[in-house]
Amino acid sequence: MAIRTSGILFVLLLLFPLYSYAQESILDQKVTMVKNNMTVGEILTALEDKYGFTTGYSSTSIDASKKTSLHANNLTLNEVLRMLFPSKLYRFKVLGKKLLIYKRLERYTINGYISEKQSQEYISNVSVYILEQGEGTISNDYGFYSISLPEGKHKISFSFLGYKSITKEIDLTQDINLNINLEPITEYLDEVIINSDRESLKSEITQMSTQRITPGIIEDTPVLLGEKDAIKTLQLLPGVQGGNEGSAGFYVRGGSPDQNLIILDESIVYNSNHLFGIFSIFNGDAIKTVEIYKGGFPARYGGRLSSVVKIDTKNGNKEKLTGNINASLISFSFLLEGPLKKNKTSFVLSGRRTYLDLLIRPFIERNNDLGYNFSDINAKIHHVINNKNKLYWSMYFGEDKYLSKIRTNTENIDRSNQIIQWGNITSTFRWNHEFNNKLFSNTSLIFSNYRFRNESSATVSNRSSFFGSNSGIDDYGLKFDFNYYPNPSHTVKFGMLSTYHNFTPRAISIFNDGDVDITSTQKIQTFESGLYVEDNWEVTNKFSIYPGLRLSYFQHRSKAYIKPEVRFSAAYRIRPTLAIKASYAKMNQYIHRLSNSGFGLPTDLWISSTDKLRPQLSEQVALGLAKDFKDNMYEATVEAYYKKLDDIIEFKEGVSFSSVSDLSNLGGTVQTVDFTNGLAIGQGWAYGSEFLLRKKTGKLTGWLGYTLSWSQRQSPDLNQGRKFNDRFDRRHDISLVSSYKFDRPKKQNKTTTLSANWVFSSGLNFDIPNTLGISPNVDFPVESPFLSDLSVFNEEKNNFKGEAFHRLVLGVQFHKITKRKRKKTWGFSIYNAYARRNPFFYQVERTEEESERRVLARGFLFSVLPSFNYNLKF
Amino acid sequence: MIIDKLRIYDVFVVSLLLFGCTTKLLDDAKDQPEGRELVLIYGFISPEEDEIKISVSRTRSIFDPSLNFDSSLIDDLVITDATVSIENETREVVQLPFDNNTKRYVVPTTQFTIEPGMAYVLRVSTQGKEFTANCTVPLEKVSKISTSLNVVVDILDRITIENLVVRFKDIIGENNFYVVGASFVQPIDGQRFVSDFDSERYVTDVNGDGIDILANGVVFNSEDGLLVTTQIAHVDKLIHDTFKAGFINREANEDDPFFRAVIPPSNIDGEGGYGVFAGFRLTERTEEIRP
Repeated sequence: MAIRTSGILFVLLLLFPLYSYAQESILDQKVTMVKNNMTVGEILTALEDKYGFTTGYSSTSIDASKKTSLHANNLTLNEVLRMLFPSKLYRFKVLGKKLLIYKRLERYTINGYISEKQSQEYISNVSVYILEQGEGTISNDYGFYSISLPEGKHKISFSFLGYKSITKEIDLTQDINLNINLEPITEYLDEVIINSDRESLKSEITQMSTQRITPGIIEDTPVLLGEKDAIKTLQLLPGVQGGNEGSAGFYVRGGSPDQNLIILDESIVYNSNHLFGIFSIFNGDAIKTVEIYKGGFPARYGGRLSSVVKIDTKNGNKEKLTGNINASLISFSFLLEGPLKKNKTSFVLSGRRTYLDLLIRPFIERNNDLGYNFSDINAKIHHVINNKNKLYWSMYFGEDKYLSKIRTNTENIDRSNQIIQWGNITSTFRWNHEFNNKLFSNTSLIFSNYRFRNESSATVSNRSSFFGSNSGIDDYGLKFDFNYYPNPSHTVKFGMLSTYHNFTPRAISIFNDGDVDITSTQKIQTFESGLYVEDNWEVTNKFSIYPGLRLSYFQHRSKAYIKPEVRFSAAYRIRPTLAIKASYAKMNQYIHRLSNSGFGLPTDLWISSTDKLRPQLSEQVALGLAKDFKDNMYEATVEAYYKKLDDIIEFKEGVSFSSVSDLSNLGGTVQTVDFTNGLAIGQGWAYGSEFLLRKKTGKLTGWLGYTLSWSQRQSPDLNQGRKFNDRFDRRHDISLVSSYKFDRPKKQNKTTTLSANWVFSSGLNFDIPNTLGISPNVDFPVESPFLSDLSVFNEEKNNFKGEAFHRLVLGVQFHKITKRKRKKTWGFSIYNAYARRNPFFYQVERTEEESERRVLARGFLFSVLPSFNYNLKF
Repeated sequence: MIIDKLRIYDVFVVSLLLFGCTTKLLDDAKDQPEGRELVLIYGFISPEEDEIKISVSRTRSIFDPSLNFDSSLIDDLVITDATVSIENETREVVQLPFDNNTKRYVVPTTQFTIEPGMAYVLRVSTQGKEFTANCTVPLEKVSKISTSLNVVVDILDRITIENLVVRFKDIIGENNFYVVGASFVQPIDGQRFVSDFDSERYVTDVNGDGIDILANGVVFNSEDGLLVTTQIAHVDKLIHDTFKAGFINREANEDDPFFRAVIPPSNIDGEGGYGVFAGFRLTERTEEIRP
């Protein structure tokens, strides 16, 4: 008699191992029976009657009505059953006098790539969801997905906001390779990849403390002078604070800018700023996605303490040639993308250059020259060898350049030239390989370079001199990443990265009319490596964990550091759209930037850990809630964090000042750094909470962010060993970002985007010399000509909390699609719309020229700055 | 060297002229951080000095509207009624009376000897508070100084500059700190000037123990040679850091938005006390040098 209750069967199967060994003899019993053209059910009944047992099976796995014949002569029951059920998926077990026949479900794998329909651009983080099982996965950074399911019929949904969802009904009887093309929804066509996606439903993922922004958001967020700036857009997120006015440097959860790992197409970027930090180097035209992690770092990332910013550029349109040009008040940029070989090879080329130096050149005196410009070039080639092998080559070149040529007499005999140049070059060659439908790999060869060059020469009264100074870093890296998808509950990532760092902290060349001829180069070579493994594990439908382990290694000469780093995240879904999350992350940082201002000056130096300079260390714990609501239109997150930093370094007081203003002292500093003196080593504490409410869809999109935070530092060499508030310790930080799109009535093909963002943050901490006393120099016997009887100093570091910072930026964009399907956009924006004079610096000054009375003076950088930009997409 | 002085922030300012503006606003900055009134104590002792001088004064907030920046200000700051004493390792104590001429607490070293390598304790009592500080006088002093004249081109200012190059051997051992200075007399008119060593007045041996240390001071009209008196003080780190902090804070360029004031060190124990009590060794050499 067939027992059709699968639940009972399951229980029996669980109990079975306890008894099976003793009862195996039933299956060994000899059977002799001949039956012709009978159903399987009838044959089983005949066996039951003749040999005194009952059978149990599920009607869904066994077709008892199927007709067959049996000719058994002195065969074991097991052999007879195998004749009836030849597939190895059928198993026979005995429990007492019961014979259980069941079919083990075979699992097959569906895998493939998900790309955009028109451009064939791979789309990451697309949700691949099995409706009836409530299981799913997401596509990886290269658009690859893999999911293993039991055989049978399944409905699989591929969804990504901004694209039409696709649901496929599949009868899974074997492994399937299924590439998916998602079609953009018309209203989002211009944004390629829109604000959010199903994967980023915060309540569904284990990862916390992460945000993703896309070109659509960057395009609609007005920043300074009409430039599209990914980093400045990141600064508007809670937990990510901007530095001073206009700065593109950012401070994540109390960390410093050098503690941010910025990865552009797998390559580390050392200098992410142009124009002393006012603009970031990332040309918005070329960017596909920007993702930031503020905590709970996956184990695949390491080497920095405070954040990971991952920037991926476009692969290029494989169908047709497209592009855009953009002109703003200060720069011109373009992007061109298209197929080199249709559906096989694509390219992207984009560039940007500022041109104010060209505009002012006619006004500069003849034979003289003065100017500053910056430029960027991004290039990428993507080639599909076959479905299992793909190649990528991407390159970035960016440079800031200051030039001065001065001739001081009519014969041009006395002259001086100066050139200051700094920038990055990165190049990455990647190979995606699919070992099988569950194992995906990416191999990267990485080169990254940062160089600062400063050269001056002068000829005065027939005496000549030359001064050249440069510093920089060259990285050569090899990286292997593997994604393994054993079943829908696990996504395992593992791999390694090894990088050879070649630092040139300072190379100088000095010549002075034959009297002095000095050439000196300082070099430091180090090796950094990391092994990692992590698993995103859906333990149950409600509970998931994301454990990871990274083993980092760093070597300088004979000194090696081996540091294990534990990473762990967990999420528990209290309700379907409400999750509580927690994370812990330990990070080590072996490469440090010595910054004098935190402003991103080119004189900031990248140096390495040595035998005397230990790596910086951080440990961070975070706890949060994530909620999605209104049919996923909104998301809200609340997170609290506590971060402890150890062995963090910065210039000692005085050393920092010298390095800003006087490169000769900078040289001394670097040698001092060598690396024992001149640096203050200490510890830090950062803690606080962040709130984010985000509206992701609809005509009105945007977010409200709030951060309440504290950040403190302590070092024996700073502030006389006392704990002090960090310069960028800002108690409150609010950001309101919104964008509203609407069609213009009666004007087809014309739309308008209104955007606004408002930020408020507590003031920075400044050092203000506020105490007047008698100078110590007075009684000292070694003379100096400019000594004063009085001195002014401050006894506490960061002794003044500056005024609060707030700013409104308004923007409007008029879009028009022409008959030839070209899209024109005119954009107008007003930076600092209500002309807030935000403090840029403070100084003690006399109230008037003649007066001796001192007051505090505030300097500000930008008042109202209107700007305009024009964009044409074709 | 002067030729490698390149001010990065000048580039920044030029760039801002292209992209923005920097304007200073007076009077509307609120909540000025008023400086505390401290008891400021400085005392630098040396076996080469004829007197021990201790300065005891009070500080005022720089924003105090009642401050008068005239000759009376020093008098206003000096504390005249403190009790000041110094004790050596053998528990000998000397009281330093206030000298109205120098506005310092002074005692001749004939009364109380300062010995190289010896430790001393300073005690100051004033305004009902007690302050103490400890120091050890450096054991050695610089033994040999060499000087020469040189002409270099200042790249930025496009001028030639005459330099007095002072070279001396670092004292081997721990990190050493020095203060360098010189005066020169022009043979033509016998006028005396003090050379400006700018930031090179404060030098250390952190680049390597026992190395030759160089410092350049500005001189002028050196074509016919100069009579130069060079001074090198081997100082306690506290003295070096105090002077350098004062130099950097004084040099604060009003156009440098990145200037960060340096907090001078203090080894004065006692609530509300600030300053440095430390020792040094002085080497002097006078010679006539020619280009």
